[in-house]
Amino acid sequence: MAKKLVNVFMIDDHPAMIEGYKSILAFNNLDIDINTTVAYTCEAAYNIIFDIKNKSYFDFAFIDLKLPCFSEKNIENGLDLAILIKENLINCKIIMITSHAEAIDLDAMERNLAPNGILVKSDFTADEFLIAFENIYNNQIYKSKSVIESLAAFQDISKNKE
Amino acid sequence: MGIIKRHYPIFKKALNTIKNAETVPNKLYYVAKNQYDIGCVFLQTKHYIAAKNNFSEGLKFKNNYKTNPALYAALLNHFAYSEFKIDSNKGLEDLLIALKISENNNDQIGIIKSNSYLAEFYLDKKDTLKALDHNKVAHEYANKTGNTNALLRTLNFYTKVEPEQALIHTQKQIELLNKIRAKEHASQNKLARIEFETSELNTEKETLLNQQKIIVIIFSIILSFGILLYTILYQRAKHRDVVFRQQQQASNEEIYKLMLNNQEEIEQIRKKIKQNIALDLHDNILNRLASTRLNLYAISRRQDDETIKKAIVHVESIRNIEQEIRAFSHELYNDSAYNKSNFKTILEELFNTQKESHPILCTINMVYCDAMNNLSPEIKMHLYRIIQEAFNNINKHSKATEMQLFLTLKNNLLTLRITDNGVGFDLKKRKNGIGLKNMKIRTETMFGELNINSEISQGTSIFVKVKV
Repeated sequence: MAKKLVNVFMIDDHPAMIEGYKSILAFNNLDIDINTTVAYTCEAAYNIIFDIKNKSYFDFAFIDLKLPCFSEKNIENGLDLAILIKENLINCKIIMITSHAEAIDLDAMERNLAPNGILVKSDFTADEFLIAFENIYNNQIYKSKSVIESLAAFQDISKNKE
Repeated sequence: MGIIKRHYPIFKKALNTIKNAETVPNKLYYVAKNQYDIGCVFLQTKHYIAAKNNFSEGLKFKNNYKTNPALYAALLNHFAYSEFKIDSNKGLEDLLIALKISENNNDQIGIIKSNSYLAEFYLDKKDTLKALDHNKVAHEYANKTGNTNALLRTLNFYTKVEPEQALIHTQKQIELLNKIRAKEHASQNKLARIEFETSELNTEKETLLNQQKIIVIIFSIILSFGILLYTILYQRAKHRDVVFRQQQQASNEEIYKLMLNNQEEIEQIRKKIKQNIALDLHDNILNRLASTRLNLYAISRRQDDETIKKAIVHVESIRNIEQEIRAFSHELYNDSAYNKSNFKTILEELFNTQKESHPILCTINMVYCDAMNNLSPEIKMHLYRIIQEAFNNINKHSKATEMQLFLTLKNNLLTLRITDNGVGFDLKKRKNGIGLKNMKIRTETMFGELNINSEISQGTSIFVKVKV
């Protein structure tokens, strides 16, 4: 049986990270072949997003939060890009990768984007990365442990304020 | 001699006063004299009995015989005369005694009077010879003493006794009267002249007084103007002083603020640099480590040659990361070193300006230590200004060829010494110059000690010690 092909869009300003992701995904248990498209800047990502032939091309997008911005189109970080992807690329699951677990940022992410997954760089191991991928592939939502904790704490506070 | 009747009440009052007065020297004399005066008034008004009483009262003071023989004789004389007037057979004995007393005492008035009365007595007794005799004596004495009244009386008596000689006597009287009148005129003229001169003097006095007043007024006006002027000038000077001090204060504050701002800016920049470093560290290095870790994951799943080769490459890349961290840490270290030398830079700049713009040979011996960075901005500013002021003085006044500055902070004691080999100055005179005063105030504000030593042509040294 031919392996299923999954098209993954990876956006990160550190090529080494992307190499890492690629190498990990190669070890997935879903028997999937991964086809990766990369972008190192917001501009590059923007161009790919708005390339008409990519409209329903991508199944997954891994987006680093911190990226060199594309000021002409008012795209300052990965979040802006993610929103664009949500609007423009059909059936593309979005996973945000961030180095911070700041509750406010995470909350903003949740509210504005509601991504399929949030991962914290310093937190996740390679195994976790795979698990996240596999869960999301199976239409689940995956969040890093520290993300869950931060969000919970934040929502507690905001509830109390109300 | 012409006692006027209207003096009588005064005499009476005087008599009472005298009688009641306790401690009056010569009281007896005065009482007797008073009695005599009153008696004479009565005589004139022909109240002979009353007169006689008064005279006898006066005679009671026997002391007068010794102490005031003239008065005693007069009293006795008039007493006798009063008796004669009352009873024409009486009085002769006393009249003669009175005459004797007057002759013994050479009392010319008494002699005249006694002789006159005796003449009158003898005329009454129709003893014309004796009467004329006594009158002659009286007349002679009157002539001798120039007693015009007595002269008139004696001449009048002559007329009465020797009517045949009346014409001559009357002529003599008229002569005398004219003389008297002339004298009167003369004295009236004299009086008038004196009056006139007096009024002239008065007017002169008034003018002078006025002049004096004017002078005094003018003088006091000038004086008050002077005082006013002085006060105004003094106040102005004080005001200027106050304004100057205020300006000083203001500029001190400004410098202080600037230093603070400067510090703040520096802090901000430092913070920014630190943040940049932190960010860099975070993004760059963290990411690389993370990616290395992720890439090495492959080994846990496959151990074939290719995977191992790739893995080794990644292990190598860890060394790069180490190098970057080393670079960062060096940057951090040097950065912090840079920040702390701010005050040092400022001082060094001051020294350099001094060295470059003045021909004086300037030796700087500053042992700068970290603790100096931690001095309060105020102390830094005061120190800076003191050094600046000292430099100014040396450049402007000292005509020195060499100067030295010594600055250390040791055992919490900040020491500054500035010396020059210039002309020096007189400490007593110049101690309160504004520049030196400023130094003093600044040192005191820092609770420090300031010592200035200077001798003419032996240079100057300024010594500042502050406990910090």
